[in-house]
Amino acid sequence: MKFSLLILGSPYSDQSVSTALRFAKSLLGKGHELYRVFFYHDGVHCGNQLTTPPQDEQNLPEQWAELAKAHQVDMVVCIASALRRGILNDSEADRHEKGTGNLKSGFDISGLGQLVEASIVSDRVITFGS
Amino acid sequence: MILHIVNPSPFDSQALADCLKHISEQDSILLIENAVVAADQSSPFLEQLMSHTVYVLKNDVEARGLQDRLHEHFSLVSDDGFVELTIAHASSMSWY
Amino acid sequence: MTKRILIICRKPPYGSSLGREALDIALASSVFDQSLSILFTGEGVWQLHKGQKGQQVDQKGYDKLLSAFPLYEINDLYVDAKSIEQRQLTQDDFVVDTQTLNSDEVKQLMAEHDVLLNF
Repeated sequence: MKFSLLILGSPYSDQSVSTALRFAKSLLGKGHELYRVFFYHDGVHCGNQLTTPPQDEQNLPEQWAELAKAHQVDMVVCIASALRRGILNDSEADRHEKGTGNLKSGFDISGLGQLVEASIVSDRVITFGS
Repeated sequence: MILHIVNPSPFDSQALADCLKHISEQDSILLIENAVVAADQSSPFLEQLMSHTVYVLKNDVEARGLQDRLHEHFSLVSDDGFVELTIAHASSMSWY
Repeated sequence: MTKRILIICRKPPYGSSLGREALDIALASSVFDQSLSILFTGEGVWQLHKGQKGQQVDQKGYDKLLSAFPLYEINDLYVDAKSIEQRQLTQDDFVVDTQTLNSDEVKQLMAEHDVLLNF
């Protein structure tokens, strides 16, 4: 089955981001496809390159990025939510004269159309709220 | 058939109450994260929950040390079981 | 491939961006030629209320956005009967036309949709 996930929670503030990661690992472990993970609302913070948790804590952005690389998962942060919360890729940072971007490698920045498209093509869309 | 996934504690949020207002007989509930307290032996929500098929996420129960306190009506599921539930139900709705 | 998407709006306006973010998804969906419905229930019904002055809290008005929905051909708007009754609201209080559904009809609406986005 083809899954897409909608992540609304903030890493380190809401347990839901960690729950979603466990769900993602389980579905992949069972041989299902994870088509897209769409980060919206505070979920965009998962794509922040500058996140620096203590060594003995889960590095959520890193774990999402590793998952994406290992399983070719499309990881999208919503551009409207991201810009408002200070998550920019290099192109947006340049456009808004903010210096260098801070979007973590492995994540793309795009519009809500990506969430809608994922909802259309996926068999299951699961929301992990805040 | 809908899988209703509830994550906040019913003492913190209206999410479970709203879910219970909108749930159909053939639907199921999965309690995760702080919502697992709703399945505790002390929970004032037990009676309402007993008239539905309710699953509880094992990792969240164990994290909170509630494994010996759950009412027997509730079925514990693993993370794999969570995935299986989303497949077995035509759609999922998250209440948070 | 056509999917039937239902967006459920439970949040009151202005206090959290989630309310607005749900409506933004509706707008994005409208260009995809899919079946889209929106249900306002619980505190979400306040989003429809006339006479809002979002500028008083430095936000764009929910009412202005919703009243433009028919222009985007977003016409399948529903409200939960009990939610509006509890809040002493009627269709006359709303900025856009909605259909009122009783409890069984709300359950039916949810069962009929493939993708349920609950905000």
